[in-house]
Amino acid sequence: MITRTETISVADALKEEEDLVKRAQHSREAFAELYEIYYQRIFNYILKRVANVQLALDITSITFLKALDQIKKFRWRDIPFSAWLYRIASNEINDYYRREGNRLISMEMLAEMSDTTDYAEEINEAEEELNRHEEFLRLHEKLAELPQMYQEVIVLKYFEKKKIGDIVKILGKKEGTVKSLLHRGLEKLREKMA
Amino acid sequence: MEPIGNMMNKEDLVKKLEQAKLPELEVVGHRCRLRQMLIEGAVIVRGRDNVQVIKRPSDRLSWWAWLKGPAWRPAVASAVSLFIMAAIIAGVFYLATPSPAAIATDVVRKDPSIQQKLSGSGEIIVVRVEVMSNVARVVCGRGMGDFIEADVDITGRTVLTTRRFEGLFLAELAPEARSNALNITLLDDRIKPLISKGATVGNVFPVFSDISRITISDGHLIKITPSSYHAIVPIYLSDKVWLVEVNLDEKKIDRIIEPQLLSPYPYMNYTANYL
Repeated sequence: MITRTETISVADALKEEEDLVKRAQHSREAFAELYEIYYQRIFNYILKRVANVQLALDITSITFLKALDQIKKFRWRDIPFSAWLYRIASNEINDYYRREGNRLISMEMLAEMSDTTDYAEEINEAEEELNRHEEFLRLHEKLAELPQMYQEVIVLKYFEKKKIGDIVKILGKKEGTVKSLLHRGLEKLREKMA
Repeated sequence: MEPIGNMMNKEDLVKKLEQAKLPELEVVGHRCRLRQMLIEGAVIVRGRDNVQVIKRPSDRLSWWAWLKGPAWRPAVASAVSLFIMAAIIAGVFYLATPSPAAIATDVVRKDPSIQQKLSGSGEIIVVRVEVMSNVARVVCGRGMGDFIEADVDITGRTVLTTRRFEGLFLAELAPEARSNALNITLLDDRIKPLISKGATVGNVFPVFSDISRITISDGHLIKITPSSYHAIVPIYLSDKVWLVEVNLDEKKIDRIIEPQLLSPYPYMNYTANYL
């Protein structure tokens, strides 16, 4: 049960974030504050979709760079900022797979991001940690056999614990469509799991 | 993983998905690097073959990065800058410096001796400028046939010598225009009595009254074009001259300048009896 104090606190937090987004539309420093809030969430969402640390890092980079590029067009009344970030990330993942694994970003950038000894070790450790999540990897292996439209609703619903209403906002689809995709996605996954 | 052939029911699958232990990882190095890039102004653009390219701020400042390289780079940049500046200065100097012809024209127009030698008043018309090495030969006058040729030292900006011309630069009228001017004059009732008294007709010449009609051809030669198609017909009787101004466009006499003593201008004394 949400108390009155908690309700006010959530409203304040939303207002605070709305103000931050408005500032971020004109200030890179303000955008960096938003980045700090959402980086972890977006990176782990992408990681759950692609199950590859380096690829998840690259798509995360693209997601935030595009968000920075397009933030002036963002309107709070349409969708919450977090949903907007998830939407960009989803589009980038789908775009990557649509191009069947073509280079996502320039080789120059990959070199820039990868050759850095300062976090190359970190990436190795993250990959080792990912490999320890065997159950997730087995599930992902089966999920990856499904079309992207099913993968994204299943990951958002069961891995990201998003409500149907939130998924509707993230994907920009109707509620009935989302439910239908979820239902059919689960059926297909069930077949793959058999 | 459920065994093959034994299809998992939906509830079990949902439960499996919901309860799966999920990776929650963090790569702090990447997080910091990306944050830095965002603050410093990195942008993303579509490159060739639809590859997305991240342009870092360092790309935009590559000129400075290039300059910070080996010592020959700033040296080359300085040399190029100096060359560009020198070219700009030379261009400005060239544009700001008047041509020798313009200098000679200016000297002649301002020279007091020429002002004094030319009869009449008003602006001096430069008819012709011929530049020869450091000296320009300028022909100028005040219209109506009084012209001077002056040699001008372009470097010293002084007039070296002057010579007077006598009617040399009167543009001649076409024979048909000359004939028309004569006919219009001789048929005029004010002129007929003079002719009957034995007056003679002088050389018909065009009128120069509008210096704005000066045009320049072949670089130096300046030609004066009559402001309108007018001609002057001098009528001489004893020691007087009547100047008849004929409007050739409208085929009429605009005015007859009242008789005066023979003109001080020598060319007006060249008479040719057409009668």
